[in-house]
Amino acid sequence: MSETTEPMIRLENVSRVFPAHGEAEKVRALRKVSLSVPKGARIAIRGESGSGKSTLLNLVGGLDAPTKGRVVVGGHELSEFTERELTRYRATTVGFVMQAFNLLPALSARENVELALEAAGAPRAAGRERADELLGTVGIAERAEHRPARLSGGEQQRVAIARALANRPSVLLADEPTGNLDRKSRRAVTTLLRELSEKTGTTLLIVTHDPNTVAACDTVYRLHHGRFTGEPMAVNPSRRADSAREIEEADDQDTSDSSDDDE
Amino acid sequence: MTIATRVWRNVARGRARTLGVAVAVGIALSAFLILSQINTGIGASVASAEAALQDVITVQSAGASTFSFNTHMNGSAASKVATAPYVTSVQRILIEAPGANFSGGMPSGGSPPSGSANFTLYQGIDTDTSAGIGLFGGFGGESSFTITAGRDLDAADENSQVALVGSSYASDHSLVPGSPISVNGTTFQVVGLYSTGSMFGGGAIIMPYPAAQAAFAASGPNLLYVLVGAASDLSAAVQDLRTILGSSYDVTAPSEDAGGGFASALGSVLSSTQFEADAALAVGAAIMVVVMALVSAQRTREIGVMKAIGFGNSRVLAQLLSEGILLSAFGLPIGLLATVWIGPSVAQIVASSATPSGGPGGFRGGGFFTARLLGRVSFAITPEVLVLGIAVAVGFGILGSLYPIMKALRSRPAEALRHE
Ligand SMILES: Nc1ncnc2c1ncn2[C@@H]1O[C@H](COP(=O)(O)OP(=O)(O)O)[C@@H](O)[C@H]1O
Ligand SMILES: [Mg+2]
Repeated sequence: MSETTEPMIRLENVSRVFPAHGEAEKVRALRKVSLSVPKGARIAIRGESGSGKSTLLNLVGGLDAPTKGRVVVGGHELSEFTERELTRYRATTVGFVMQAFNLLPALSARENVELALEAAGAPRAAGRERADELLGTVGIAERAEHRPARLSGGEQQRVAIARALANRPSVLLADEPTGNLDRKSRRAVTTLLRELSEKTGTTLLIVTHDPNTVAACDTVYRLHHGRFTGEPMAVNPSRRADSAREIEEADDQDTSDSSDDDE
Repeated sequence: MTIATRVWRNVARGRARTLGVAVAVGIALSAFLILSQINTGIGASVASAEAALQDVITVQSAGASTFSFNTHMNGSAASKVATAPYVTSVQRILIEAPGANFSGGMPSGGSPPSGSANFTLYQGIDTDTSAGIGLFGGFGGESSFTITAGRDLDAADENSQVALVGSSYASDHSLVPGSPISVNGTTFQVVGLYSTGSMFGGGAIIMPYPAAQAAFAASGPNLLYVLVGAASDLSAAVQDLRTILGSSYDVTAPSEDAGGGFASALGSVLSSTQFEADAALAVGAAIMVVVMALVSAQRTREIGVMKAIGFGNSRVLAQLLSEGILLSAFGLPIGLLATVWIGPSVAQIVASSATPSGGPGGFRGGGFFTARLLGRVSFAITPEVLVLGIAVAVGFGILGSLYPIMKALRSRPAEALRHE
């Protein structure tokens, strides 16, 4: 990817401070974070709990707004969007996969996917067809009529991935997508995310603890107390399995390691 | 998938929630409907009673109660009243209830004795009183008085031994027009059956005054209803009658009787039911707000999800408001059924708590009439009631859901998604 091309995602000195609220003190979840993600890149973001990973993803997804700094996606600065444009952005430019799946419990798998198509204004008849196609792509076509409560975690996350990809977003955001899954489903979902992003050219930003998921990406960033630490690490495509092991081992040593967190 | 489908799915999914909200709405709704129907019914009654009583004077033996059936007036008093100034007509009323025990008249504050079950009420009444005061006998003035078989009594019956029989009494005793009936040993002929919506009327036997007086060998009527030509003559007429009759008779104008009178009794019921209906509405709204706040806490996350996948505030609002209204609408049938079922009992409670005891000199029928009117309040589901019920249910639905939804919508999706 050439240096002159506008990156798909660009964060410039982004800070997010959650103001004090009752008993809770104010939290600096992100501190002057900058990041540049080329189109089609697959980025993993690691970091201990509370380091600001979800906050970062929410900012990119237009679900939250920074206290300071700029978030630019696909050439548009999100803070300049009107409410209507922001709604449209959430519907079409980004897809979101969350740890808790967040499917609507009253709706079937198919209807959950259709909902995303409806949000983007797709005609109803076409929506149903496309929803079934998407469920086929994620490998659960036969579960289309089932409600979330009757699906396993892995199946629910597949539905969530189908939903996130429904409107062919340029950016797929995944917040610990394998965090609630068993080992087998973790692998399947990781593979699915990787394959789909390869096939569609979607830029992938995954927050994860899962070494296998990390290793499925191309570049790994590490957040610590709201800042990126160290240099981004490139994953060797021919040695993904080894990378996963190395990351796991590094994690074990990491526990005592900490950078200064002064502002 | 339409918004209506999703609304229905969400409401149908939370069965316990839907039932809970429906019951809460139903209770609040029926409380409101019952009280407002009592209120409306009484409002109309107060107006008509006040109008009807404007030119009415009652005369009884001093210290007597309306229900002291033994205190007959002197027969000559009635004729003196008829020739007094301002008086345009006099209706003599004889009330006999052999076997009934009303020592001291109406139990204070209580409801009237419950009719034909324990005793038979006989009424002698002037049949040629075209003005038709008839508050007691159900003659003329009583709107729900209807002849169900045979004919009404008329002026020509004055000296005949004929009777009208309440339809409930008639069916209990297999009486039809033409049947003979024994009144204190004298045989009368039934000429018609009648019904009223009231407690006494349906079971009473009504005869022309002279025949009834003879049958019971009564010295005179228990009560006179006196009509004066114009409401403006009322005070003067009362003064004159007091002078003519002296201290052995009580002369009262119900419309001027502020203490414990008929109209004022109704007036107090009116204002208290108005207050209670308003309170029911407020309590219902409060219940709805609390219930919906609890319900929407669970749904904050869903609101976050919908917004995260690209639904605008207006679409989320439309869906959740519709859900709130539908949820509340489930309370409508419960509220309407409860209104029909428990409305009459509530009217009884209101009647017994609101009826005055009828102190000396007051219009002693007050409590009785109040109770009768409450007994007549209809709790049927008329189109008006249905519309009112729907309006209140929809109002509850909107009121209950608006605040929690707005709160969830104002926060950013990221925040809503953090909600457990
Ligand atoms: N809406 C919020 N209000 C207050 N504090 C928040 C909010 N969201 C996140 N935080 C705080 O910001 C910090 C970073 O949170 P988060 O980005 O969720 O961390 P991670 O995803 O890395 O576990 C945490 O201390 C968290 O408690
Ligand atoms: Mg997180």
